[in-house]
Amino acid sequence: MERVLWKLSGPASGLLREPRFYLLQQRRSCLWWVAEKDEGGGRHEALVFKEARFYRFTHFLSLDYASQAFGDKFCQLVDLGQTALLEEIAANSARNRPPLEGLKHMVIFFDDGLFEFVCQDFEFQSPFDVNEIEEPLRRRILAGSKPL
Amino acid sequence: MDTHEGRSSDPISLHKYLYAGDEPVDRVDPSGKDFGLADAAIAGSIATTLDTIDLNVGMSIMQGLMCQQQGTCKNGTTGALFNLAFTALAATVLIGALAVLSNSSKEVPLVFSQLTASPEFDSAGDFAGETIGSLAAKIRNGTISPSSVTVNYVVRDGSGLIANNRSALALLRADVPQSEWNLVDMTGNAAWETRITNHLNNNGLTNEGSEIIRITGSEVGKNASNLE
Repeated sequence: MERVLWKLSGPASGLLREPRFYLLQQRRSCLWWVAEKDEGGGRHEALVFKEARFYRFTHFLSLDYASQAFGDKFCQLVDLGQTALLEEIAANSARNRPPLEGLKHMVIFFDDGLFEFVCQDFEFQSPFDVNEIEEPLRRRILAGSKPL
Repeated sequence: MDTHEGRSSDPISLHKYLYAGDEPVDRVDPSGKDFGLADAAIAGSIATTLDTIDLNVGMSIMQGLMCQQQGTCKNGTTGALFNLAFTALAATVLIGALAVLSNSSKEVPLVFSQLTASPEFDSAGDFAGETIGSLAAKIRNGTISPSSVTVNYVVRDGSGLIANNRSALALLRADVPQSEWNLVDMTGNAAWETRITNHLNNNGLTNEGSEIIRITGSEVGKNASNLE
């Protein structure tokens, strides 16, 4: 049974920067964007997915008709309930690690297409610490220090 | 005698025997109720001086010249345009709006499918990493051909709803005549129909779309687009 977990407060076209996917530490991933503040300027916001075991993006031109149906839930994070993909990922995860309780198959349709996550939970962060998307190793390399 | 009661914020408009804001050489006032530029070239000359200005900040307004051309201006519409902080930028896009109306080979008025657009192109699209302004600059200097900037649209209720709003804005900004646009009618295509529906619903619009679109990122915030 589908369930809407969260929705963007305004139109996606009104964002300063549209959602982009990033991997974070500790098996987290996120969709990060910049919202426009009423008084001008931007505010970093993100949906952070915890214990993410699977992520996928399908460009809107490559979506099947069933997935396009999520157009009526544009910019809304939807829990799809029990799906074949969720069962597969949960089973594979359980073979190699202690079972992770409460995995969910979540999808959100933004303008570019459909983002999918199999994860334990999510959190909407506003403001979002944008430094999180620049992992420490990359920062060290950029700073000129040896990675190891 | 001018039947328009005028606006207290604009004393000239209160005068009963003046028209076109008392500047009949540069302005026209066919309805007697409001005035606009007599020649879009004036706006074009403003735009020419602004080639280097990026569209990161600004807005586009199609409504102004459309209503001038059609004689359907509401009171204050065109006057408001020239009170905006981003007047020149608005004028730039108005030139394009005129082209959309007069040169459309499809004889379908093109309208935007959303009220706002971020300046950056989609990260998964053909112009990822570009802004509307940077793409317009590349079109102008020949780095990118206008024909490679596809503008897909879907026809509903007699309006051509633009699906690639930023691409259209870049072409407008680059002063590319619509006859040179790579317009593609995607009416009936499920993916593009869905995209248009998403845009319209997400912005609270009907199939009439919008003649106005604001590029987000103004230093003065969301009120930058408010013409009403």
